[in-house]
Amino acid sequence: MKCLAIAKKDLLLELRSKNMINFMILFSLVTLVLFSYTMSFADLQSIAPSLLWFIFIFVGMLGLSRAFIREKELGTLDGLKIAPIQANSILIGKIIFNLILIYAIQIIIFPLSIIFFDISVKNPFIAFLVLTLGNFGFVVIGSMFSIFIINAKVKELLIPVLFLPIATPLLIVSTIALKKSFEGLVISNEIILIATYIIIMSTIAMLTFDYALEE
Amino acid sequence: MRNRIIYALSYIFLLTGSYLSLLVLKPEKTLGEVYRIFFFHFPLAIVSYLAFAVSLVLSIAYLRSKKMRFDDLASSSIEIGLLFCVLATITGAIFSKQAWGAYWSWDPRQTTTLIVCFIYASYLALRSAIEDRETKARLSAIFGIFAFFSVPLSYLSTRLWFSLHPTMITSKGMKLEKDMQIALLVMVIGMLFLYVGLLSLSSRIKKLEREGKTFYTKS
Amino acid sequence: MKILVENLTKKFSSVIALENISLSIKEGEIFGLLGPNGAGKTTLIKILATLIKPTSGRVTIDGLDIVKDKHKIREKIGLVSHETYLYEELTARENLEFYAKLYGTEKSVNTFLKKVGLEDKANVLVKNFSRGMKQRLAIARAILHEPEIVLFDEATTGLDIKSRERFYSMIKELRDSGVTIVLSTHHKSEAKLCDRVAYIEKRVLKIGEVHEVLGDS
Repeated sequence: MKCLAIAKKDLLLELRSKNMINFMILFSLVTLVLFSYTMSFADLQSIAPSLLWFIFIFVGMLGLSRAFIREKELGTLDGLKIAPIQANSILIGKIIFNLILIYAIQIIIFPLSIIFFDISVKNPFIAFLVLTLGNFGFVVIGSMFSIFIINAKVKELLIPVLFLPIATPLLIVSTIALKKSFEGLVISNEIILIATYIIIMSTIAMLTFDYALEE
Repeated sequence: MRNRIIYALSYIFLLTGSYLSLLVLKPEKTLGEVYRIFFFHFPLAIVSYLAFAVSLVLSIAYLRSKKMRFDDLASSSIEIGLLFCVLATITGAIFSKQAWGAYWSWDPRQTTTLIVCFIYASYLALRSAIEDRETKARLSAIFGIFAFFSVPLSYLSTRLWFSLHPTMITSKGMKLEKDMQIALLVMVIGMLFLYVGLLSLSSRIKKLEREGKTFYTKS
Repeated sequence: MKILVENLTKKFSSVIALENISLSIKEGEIFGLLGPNGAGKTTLIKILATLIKPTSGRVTIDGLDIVKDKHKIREKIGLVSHETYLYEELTARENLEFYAKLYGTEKSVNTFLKKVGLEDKANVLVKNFSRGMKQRLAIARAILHEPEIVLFDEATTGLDIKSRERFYSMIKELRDSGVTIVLSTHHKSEAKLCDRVAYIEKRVLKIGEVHEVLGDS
């Protein structure tokens, strides 16, 4: 699968240079420490789900766009465009890469946050599922919107402006779901909503990515 | 000429509707005088959603045909929709304060309307950040499609949140008598005509800008 | 005709880059595009490479339309630009293997490394290559899938004389193996490589053999 080749290439590049992942982990750690230092445990327990998603989204926003910005900067995006591959393969490849990146960060940060914030997680498997699904939604949108960013002026400032409003539904439901998973409650409604979000947004992305690349 | 007719019609309907809703109709059973602002809030809200729906169709039309006219129309429709949506949010908040004591209750409809304002504001932000005309049209058309579908998703998600954190607001207990319904209908039609008139004007200005026939050009 | 361009116009917003261009390129020839900077040569090459869509007019390659059949055309085309399309943090071999996967070729990349004389640098990171080596690797990248047409867009920019000579001999080798070549340049020495050239300044001002167009000995 050609999209896998693209994902693999990006992973290889990232492993060699580590310029994105180091930054993202550092950013998350600093934020984590900052919040656990400045807020009481009681407050933290209640806002932890929102805070965690907040950290992951911000880190994600900065990191996800890099995948495409780097291609444009290096000039290699054209090299991908003239290859006999479906335009969607490029998007899927980037999504896979970004997913792996975000997971890598979460695997480190999530356990640390449990320690720092002293939160109790009643159902870790469900929490993991929530993180997985939420990630997927954010990564699809973030990867797709990166195409808009590379064509715009003031790239970095535009990322949160474009991303956050449209990601708001996902953020709301994911936060509720994460919080419920900490408390061990049922989250079937939330899962359905997140899945709906992912399906709708992915479909639009797959249908329109071709148009996004053409000139 | 056709535009003048549309504006005239819109004035007539809006004026009539305002007169009816503000002066003629009697105070409502549960809400008293306050409900009158609903006659502005509801038409604004509904026409804004219509404007966004129209923008979806226009965005898709642009992507398939690449005719700039569709982009002019789509972006104008969103600009007007956003304006109406902001006004709907404000009138909604005023209504909420008078009727239930708080400007904001985080109820699904109110919150969704606010989120929708932000979503379409970001559409305009995207447009202003891209210089090349064709790229701007193409990418904002795609973004417009995403934006539209986030509206129902926003509604569903705020409804989920609200079901878990209900505030003290009860359901919108307002009974509309026959004469109130008529006034409301008049206002909605008036707003519709206003939307069409503004849409036509705005897209025509954009077309002239593209052709370089205006005094100063906005990109 | 291998490549047929009919009444091609390309506008970027209101700027006309190419106006009503028509030309035909025969199979197996080296066809040159000459002209000053901003003349539209790069735009024309990018259209042939399926990177940009024409505003109006028709371009066909082997009878395939450049817009409708762009997938099939991409299999037949290789592009060497002044940008290398290479990933600096990967080795030469990794770069070629990546593109080989994209183009779906089964042939070993070693063959192509050998062809451009870089087999002993296969495991060196591209960022440690000289400009000349990078361009040679770019050629290898462009011919991995054994395309019928290779487009060169001012590809010798930044090369010293020796590298440039090497480049030219590779181009001739390609032509001798049956590949059609389209070459855009503003160096007279490169123009002399070509069988025919077109002088372009938004429109085609002259087509013919090199000495006809350039009007010298």
